[in-house]
Amino acid sequence: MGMSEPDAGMPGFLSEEPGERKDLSLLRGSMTPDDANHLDSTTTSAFVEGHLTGAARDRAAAHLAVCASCRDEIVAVREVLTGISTRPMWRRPPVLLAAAAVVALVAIGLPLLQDGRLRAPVPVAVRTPERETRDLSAASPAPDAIVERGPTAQPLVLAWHGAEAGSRYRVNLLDANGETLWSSETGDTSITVPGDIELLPGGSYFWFVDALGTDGRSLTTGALRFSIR
Amino acid sequence: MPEALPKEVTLLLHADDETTRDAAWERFVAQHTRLILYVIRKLVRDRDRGMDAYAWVLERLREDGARRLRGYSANGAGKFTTWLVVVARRLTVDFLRHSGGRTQATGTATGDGVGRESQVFRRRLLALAGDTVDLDALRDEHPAADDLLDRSERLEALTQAVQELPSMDRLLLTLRFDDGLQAEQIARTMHFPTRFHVYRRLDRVLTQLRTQLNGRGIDGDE
Repeated sequence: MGMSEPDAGMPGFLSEEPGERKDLSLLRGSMTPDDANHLDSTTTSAFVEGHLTGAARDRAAAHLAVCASCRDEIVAVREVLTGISTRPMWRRPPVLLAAAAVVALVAIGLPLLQDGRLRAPVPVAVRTPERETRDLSAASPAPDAIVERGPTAQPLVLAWHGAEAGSRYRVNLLDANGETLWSSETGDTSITVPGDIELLPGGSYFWFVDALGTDGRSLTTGALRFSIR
Repeated sequence: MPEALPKEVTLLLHADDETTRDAAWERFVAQHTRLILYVIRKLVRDRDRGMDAYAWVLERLREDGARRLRGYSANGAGKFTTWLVVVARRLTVDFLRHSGGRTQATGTATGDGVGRESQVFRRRLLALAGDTVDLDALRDEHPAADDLLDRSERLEALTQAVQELPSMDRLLLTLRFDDGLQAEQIARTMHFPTRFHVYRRLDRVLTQLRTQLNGRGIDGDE
């Protein structure tokens, strides 16, 4: 773990008023706040991305447990990255398209619902096509796929065709009501759903992947439904 | 492992002459301006000050032959974008301190005004772990000497027990009870798959603390 950071040249950042942090001492371990030592930018970004492992991660966590300013920073950076990946930074959402989608839902969806013909539940969080999808597409489970799940089934793997090299992906699994069941980040183009996420037979689920490209562009696959047999 | 450097950064770092360097810098700025502004706006609400901060950040990134970017190229681990967010945020904080201002971010972990809330969270931790604390007694401005001693012993025992936890668990408790973060935020920060995993881990750690406190003669019947 790198502490301090001559290369980042942040004298102001390193001169945190000690008094502000000393009173947050209940939970701190043996390390005491040291104004001269903070996580460097490389370690901070690696921790935020979850790339630190083993002793390096433990050292970083031990420092974070006693250093309010570094903690503040990782939380803020994480929130910034989440904000980037969940809202369209680079283009305005096509308001007219979204409005048209709502009108279409009302005009077509309601009669069908009343008719009883539209049986598939619509997620509460309807996602408007506000981001580009052309470079990112889901591979498995395919849209409307029926997935066999039994007591001896292999873990469910979600896979997609990636955007550009170096992209980071946030994968989201939702229940039929649009509630997030599980979410995770990866740099890979597939991910295994943890075994303790319960997917019930007969249930419908949705999943989607958001990608953050190296140029800051965000893409999404859009929500895709699959069912469990 | 560091990812491949973005093309515009590579061009900037390997530019042989001033003209090429200027062109590469322009390209870098065009490519990353919106990200940098996004980071700045989290800390600076005022538009004019935000633009001053933006100029400051760009200046710092370019100075000494783009020293910071070279630092990433030599030591960078992970995504360039994440690293740039960290550095841009630090430079913005630096700008605010140099210009005599304070950060204006909201909702961060340890900002101003959290102190009182933090005490509440500590009490909650004490209550959850010890399962023994009379919160009314904690609010009493003139507690009896016995109560004070009792409270002090519990606090000491708890502090000791917390210090013996693995560092990731200490961080988890700190984020939850010291900083008062929501489980969802903790999940994102510490890479738990869901907030439910945060609750489960917290439950496990608190159970462990409770066991340790019981082992030290602090039980739930006092």
